[in-house]
Amino acid sequence: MIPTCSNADRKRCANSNLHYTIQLASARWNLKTRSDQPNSGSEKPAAGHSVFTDIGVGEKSANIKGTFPLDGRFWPFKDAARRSIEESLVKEFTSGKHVALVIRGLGGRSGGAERIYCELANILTENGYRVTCLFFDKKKETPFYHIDARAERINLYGPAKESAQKWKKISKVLPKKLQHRAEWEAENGFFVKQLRDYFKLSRPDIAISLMPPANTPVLLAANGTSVKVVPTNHNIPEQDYDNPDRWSKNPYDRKLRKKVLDFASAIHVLFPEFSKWFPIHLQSRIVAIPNYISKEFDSLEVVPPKEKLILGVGRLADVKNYVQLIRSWASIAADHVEWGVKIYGVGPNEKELKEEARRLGVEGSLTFGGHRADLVGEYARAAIFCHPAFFEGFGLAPAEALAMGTPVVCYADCPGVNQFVKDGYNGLAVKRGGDPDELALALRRLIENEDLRERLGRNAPDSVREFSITRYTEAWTALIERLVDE
Amino acid sequence: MTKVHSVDVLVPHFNDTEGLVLSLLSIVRQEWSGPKRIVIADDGSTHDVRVAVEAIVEEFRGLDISASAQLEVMFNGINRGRPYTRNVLLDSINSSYVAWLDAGDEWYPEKLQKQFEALSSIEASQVDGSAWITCNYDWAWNGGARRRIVQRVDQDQHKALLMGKSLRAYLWTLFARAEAFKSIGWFDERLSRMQDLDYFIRFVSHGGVIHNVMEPKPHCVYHKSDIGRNADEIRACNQIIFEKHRVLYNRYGDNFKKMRLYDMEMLAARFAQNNGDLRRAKHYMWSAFKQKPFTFLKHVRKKGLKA
Repeated sequence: MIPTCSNADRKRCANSNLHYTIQLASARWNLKTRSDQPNSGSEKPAAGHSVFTDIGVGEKSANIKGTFPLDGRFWPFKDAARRSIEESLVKEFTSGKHVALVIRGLGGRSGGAERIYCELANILTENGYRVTCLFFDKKKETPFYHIDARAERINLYGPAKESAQKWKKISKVLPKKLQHRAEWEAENGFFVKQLRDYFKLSRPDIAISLMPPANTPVLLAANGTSVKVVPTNHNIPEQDYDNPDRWSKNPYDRKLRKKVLDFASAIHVLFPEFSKWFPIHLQSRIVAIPNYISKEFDSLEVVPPKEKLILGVGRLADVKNYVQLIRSWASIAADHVEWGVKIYGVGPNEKELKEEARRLGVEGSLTFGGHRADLVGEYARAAIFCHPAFFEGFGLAPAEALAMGTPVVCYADCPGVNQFVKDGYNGLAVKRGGDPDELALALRRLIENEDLRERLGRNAPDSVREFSITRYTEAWTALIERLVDE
Repeated sequence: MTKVHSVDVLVPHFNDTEGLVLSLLSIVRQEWSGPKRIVIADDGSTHDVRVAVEAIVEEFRGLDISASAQLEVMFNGINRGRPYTRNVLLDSINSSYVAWLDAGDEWYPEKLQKQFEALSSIEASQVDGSAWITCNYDWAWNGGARRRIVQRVDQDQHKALLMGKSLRAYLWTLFARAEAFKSIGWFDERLSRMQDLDYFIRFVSHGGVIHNVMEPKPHCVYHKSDIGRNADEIRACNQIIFEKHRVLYNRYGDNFKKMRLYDMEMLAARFAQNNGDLRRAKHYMWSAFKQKPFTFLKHVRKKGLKA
């Protein structure tokens, strides 16, 4: 029987010679089509969907006499042999291990933590993991840093705020101690609920959270689920856990921050020394993975000659202590008029730092470069890099300077820098608060001793060689594999 | 010289040769004259149908009209379901651009041309992230008149997809760069139905944005039928999606969630009703009533007990 297109929808193709050819082909091969079906003459014949198709999709075909493997050639074997060969040909469509990366705010933010978060997402995606970026952000902006299109990104925040509003109202009538708890619930309750639902229903193999505002909710939400959590710490632990002015000022949050670490499968720190802060029962779970220096620092084809320039790079905030650099420079500038200082970065102290430079009369030799993304060349041409910060999680700017063969002057008590700046090997690490000004003495020493600068500079690149993206990737993938297999 | 791009048109097929012919004709009649690679994945149709598919492909290969279209056909050894077959097709992508067309549905002749123009315009404006181009379409119930459906993209796309009213997840409306499909990962093989909805939601979660062509007229037709569709199966698949994307549902509050669950029950009731299973239809309507009693009563007052 020649199948026909009786439906009005098919009039367009019925006029075609091509369609006639196809009809002939159908007849020649004795097609079993919609028009052969029992209800094909009904008032509502299927247009484009035969009844057979509607029933059959998703249903196992029982009447296979001969078949074709995936390559399309006819398969002449007997059933049993055919089936076993076919099964071996079946392609599996599976995804890699599922890693959820969690941060509190992401939209439009250009900070260091957000950069690390996006880069880790890209690295893990590139290495075959299924990555989901979870965040809880009132901002609707897209992430500032690029995230690989293969990584999912889900903002858990939504307009459903009923429970948060309820807690806010309740907190006003509660005693002080309970008030903190209610305020915490108002701030974090929906975030925790969303994370818990995600962990229970999507069951990622592992969750990696960034910094305390995400670490606490993630650890709470994953407790009692199969999800293993690695909270990451991107600063010295004293600052993240004990400083009442850092992160949430709510005392309940500070208490919880430490308590929930018990639920962690592993705790990330940037350097092994940072593990000392954690209690003994958590020591075995601590994993040190330092940040890495971007690959662009390996790819400078022509290294410019060193100039008489002291470089500073970082956020213009109290913690970076650039006011000390200005004062130290002011004390030696008159003796070294051919030298200059340049500070790149923006931040809340910009105005007062410029004012200080003016007050001390060094505004001509000490300049501010503002924000600049490409600093490789600047690091390379500077003869000295000065970093007077109080503390760092990982001093990326001094590490990048060393990678470009520039010796670093810093304070010996600055964690996050003193792990890799070694006095007399790749820089000068001086005592803080000394009298006379030790920072100014170190700068003078390097300015006046070119041989010393060259010797320290020669050692510098090797001293930070371990902070490579390769080692960073290996460390994270090894940790993930170990925890998932446990 | 302008580089001529090739489009992979991915066609899943199962036991519907007539529908396949209809779809193939609508592909070769596209006004866009660039090279097309049509890939048919047959999902374990019966022996006779497979042989017929081979014959149809051979006939198409021999025709002048298909000179710009290269045809390839693949066969699943046994019926493995729609998501698996879509994955086979996804895996077969070879060109820079991709469009989908389920065997049995049709494109109107301008579809690819208009979608190419829309994508070029979006890429020229250097919008970040992946872009899918959908289009308005005709919805043709069997024997019924065609109804134009508008795909509204200027809204919260996650929310619109979960609601399934003004932006619907139909893969055969789409055209995009190959990477925009490949980067989403595989279709979820647990979803024998609704796998497209899951795929759309995931696309938006991957930072993708769905755009529409820049004119209101429809560019394809969906031949719709509930006959033979299993109510339990559709309800189970909806439940998987509800659980898998729960955090997205949560974002819009409890009332939104209840309303979506109500919609799921009523959809299953419609499938049961249209297939004559009144007992099952009643069961799903009762579930819908329990989710949103007033909404259900309003529905009954307006449409009676027709789901």
